Amino acid sequence: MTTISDLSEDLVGEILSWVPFTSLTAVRSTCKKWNALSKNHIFGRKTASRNQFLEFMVADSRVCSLRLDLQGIRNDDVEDYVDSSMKQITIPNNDDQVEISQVYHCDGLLLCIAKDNSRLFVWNPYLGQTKWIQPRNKFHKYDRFALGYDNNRNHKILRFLYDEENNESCRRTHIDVYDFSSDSWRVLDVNPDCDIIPFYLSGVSLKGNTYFFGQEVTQASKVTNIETCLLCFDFTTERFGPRLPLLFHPPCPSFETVTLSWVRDEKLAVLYNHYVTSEILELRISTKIEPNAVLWSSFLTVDMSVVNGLPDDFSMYFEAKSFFIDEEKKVVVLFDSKVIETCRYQMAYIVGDDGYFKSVNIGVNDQVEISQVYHCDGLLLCIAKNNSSLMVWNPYLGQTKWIRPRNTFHRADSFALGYDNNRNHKILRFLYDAERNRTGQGWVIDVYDFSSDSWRVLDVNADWDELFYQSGVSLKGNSYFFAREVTTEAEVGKEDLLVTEIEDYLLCFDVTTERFGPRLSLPFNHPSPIFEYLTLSWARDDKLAVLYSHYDTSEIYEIWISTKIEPNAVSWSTFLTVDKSLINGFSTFYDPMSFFIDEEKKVAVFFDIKGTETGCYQIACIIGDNGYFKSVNIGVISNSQWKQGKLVCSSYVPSLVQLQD
Amino acid sequence: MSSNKIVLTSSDGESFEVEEVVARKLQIVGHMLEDDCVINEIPLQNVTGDILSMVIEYCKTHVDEEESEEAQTKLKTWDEEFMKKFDIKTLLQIILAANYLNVKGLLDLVSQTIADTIKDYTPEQIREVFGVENDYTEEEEAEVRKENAWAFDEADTPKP
Repeated sequence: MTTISDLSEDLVGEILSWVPFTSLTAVRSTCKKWNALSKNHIFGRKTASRNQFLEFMVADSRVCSLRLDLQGIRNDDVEDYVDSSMKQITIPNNDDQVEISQVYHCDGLLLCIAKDNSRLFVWNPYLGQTKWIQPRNKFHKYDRFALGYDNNRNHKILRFLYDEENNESCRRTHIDVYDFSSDSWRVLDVNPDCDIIPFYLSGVSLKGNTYFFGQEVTQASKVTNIETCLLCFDFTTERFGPRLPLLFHPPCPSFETVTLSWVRDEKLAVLYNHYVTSEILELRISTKIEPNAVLWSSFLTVDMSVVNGLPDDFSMYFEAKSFFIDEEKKVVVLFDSKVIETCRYQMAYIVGDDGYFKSVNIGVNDQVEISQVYHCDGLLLCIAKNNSSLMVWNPYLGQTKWIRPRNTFHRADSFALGYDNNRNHKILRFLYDAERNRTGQGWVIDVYDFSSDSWRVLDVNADWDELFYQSGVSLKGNSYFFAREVTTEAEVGKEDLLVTEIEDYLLCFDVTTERFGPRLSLPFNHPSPIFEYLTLSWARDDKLAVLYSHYDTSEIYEIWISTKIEPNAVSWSTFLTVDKSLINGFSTFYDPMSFFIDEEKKVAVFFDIKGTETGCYQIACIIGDNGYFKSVNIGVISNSQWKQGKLVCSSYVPSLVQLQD
Repeated sequence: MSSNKIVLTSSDGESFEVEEVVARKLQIVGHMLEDDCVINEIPLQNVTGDILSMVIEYCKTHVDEEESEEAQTKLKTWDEEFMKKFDIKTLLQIILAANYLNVKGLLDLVSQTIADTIKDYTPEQIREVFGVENDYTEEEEAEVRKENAWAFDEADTPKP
């Protein structure tokens, strides 16, 4: 019987060269021999599945690979389908998974620049090899790079050194070149014959050389002409070639956007957009491309104003957009990130002739991003950032349960987790409605019952004036919120009402009766009816703590804790009064979104953000009586959103609640 | 082109009389004919009669490859149907024959057909179908999967 082992290695290699890239993992996991074989033969070389794209990009400081399959678009009689996925990659020999700020590609190799600006490495994903390279000196974060090879297939790296002082004139750029064969850096004394605004930002690598845009600006008293051209850095001669024409005809010498891309690894594509005719995108592809010669043919001209579905705020300006084209399907794929409410999506917009348009959300991570977290009874309620689902997580048992709401959330929706007297857990959802909010009606409340696994609308007593849904904390199954009644009277001769009294109080949502309880008093006596700041917290899991600050005495924080707390009764005792003006080093810029207290040590802990040159840190500030103060750096925040972390619970206590889908 | 007939004989003694243009699609035959023009019977040691008949069927169909799009599409359809007749074992025999007889078009076609089969299989299925033994430990296999995660795993990808 004939088996594959009767075939010579070359013949097996021949077969493998027809297997698409996406089966690389499967083939390599088959056996050691095939794994080794696949490293001597290039996979997928012959499939020429032209509408399948495998790309790399940097997202959230990690290298991601992106697969976009356009085979399913623009076919007759079949509904369009785009198969896409994106995932973060673990790069071998990068033990700490160093964060990456830039990635360049040439010849199947990826040049990755570490975010700490001290190192770079070249990765061959196909062979699973990496090589770390130390530069002559530490980078500047605006340094740019290029990867290429000479006629002898000797690979080189270019580094364009950013020079703050020289940046304005920009006539000369310092360039370092790294040679793989000698494993060393040297300074290159060349500069392109062109006036250029940082030309090295635009580079793309093709057949070993890198192409950039150059620009010549003619000006007397005003700019009379701008000519944009293409420049090639020839890695064999280590020189810039002559100016190559782009042949775009701007209607006037003002702002234009030009972006470069590839058509597979054979041709260059260029996208052009001029300020005056900003709705028109012109795309050309090269019919001939060499360091000193280029010929173009028109690929596509798109009038974006007739394209239906593109977001209103889409613009080619202000940041270089990347794109690629599919020659066969005659479409251009534009990448953009899109912010909807508080979420960021990585989008691919596929645009063709005749107004063809399709938008694809290619997502970000495998991990669903979480926008809000609530806690009760050892369970965490996590709200997905995509506003369409939520998850309850029992960290102690390692169980999760996904729950779909009745409809998509609004980002201002607020939630609470609680349980009734029978330990049946429930989720409350306070639906934000701008109109109801404006007219002072209470919010619609949905309740989800774990026992029945269903949502229902709650018809709840809404006799409060102003309830602060976001202020809720959960204690012993019930949720406590701040509410406020404002008394006003009309002033003679003025349209505005004069606030004569503000009464702050607590309301408890009783999860058993599903009603709000009576007003619970707060222990503060304000000096005047104006702005007050209040935050709720816990003292372990059996008491509430409340922080109070009044506009007139804003340097004072008063913290009280409950001595008794039930849905319809509360009493308080004073815990700590802090005079912030007496504490050195305590940032008073933010009012704390959350805090917790240690009753025994008689301290309160606040959270703050501190930015330094090297990063952004989460700071915990421990404050006691008699001016006691200590600040602790509790970690780096990678996403510098300048948001204080918000506490979800105080002293987590595990739970044995089972969560099975 | 002459309509000279040539007899091809398989390893198990089966003879096929074909036109010279068809026989020339087998490059091994083409080279023999160039070396010595008067041969009209050629023994082919490494191919059995049943496999040789398939190769000849392919060559007959591809004897005049027209440029026109219509003819190309027709050939493509024929190729697809032709390949559907065979199981993996036969395909492997055909690819060995195509390689030995040096029929480029058939070699590509069978390679592609086998590759298409591999494409939709998990490693377990590949091993089973091709009789390949798994010589990885569990840890090694997990490591290979991790290393190649960037290239996506077709088996992971949901189909529409």
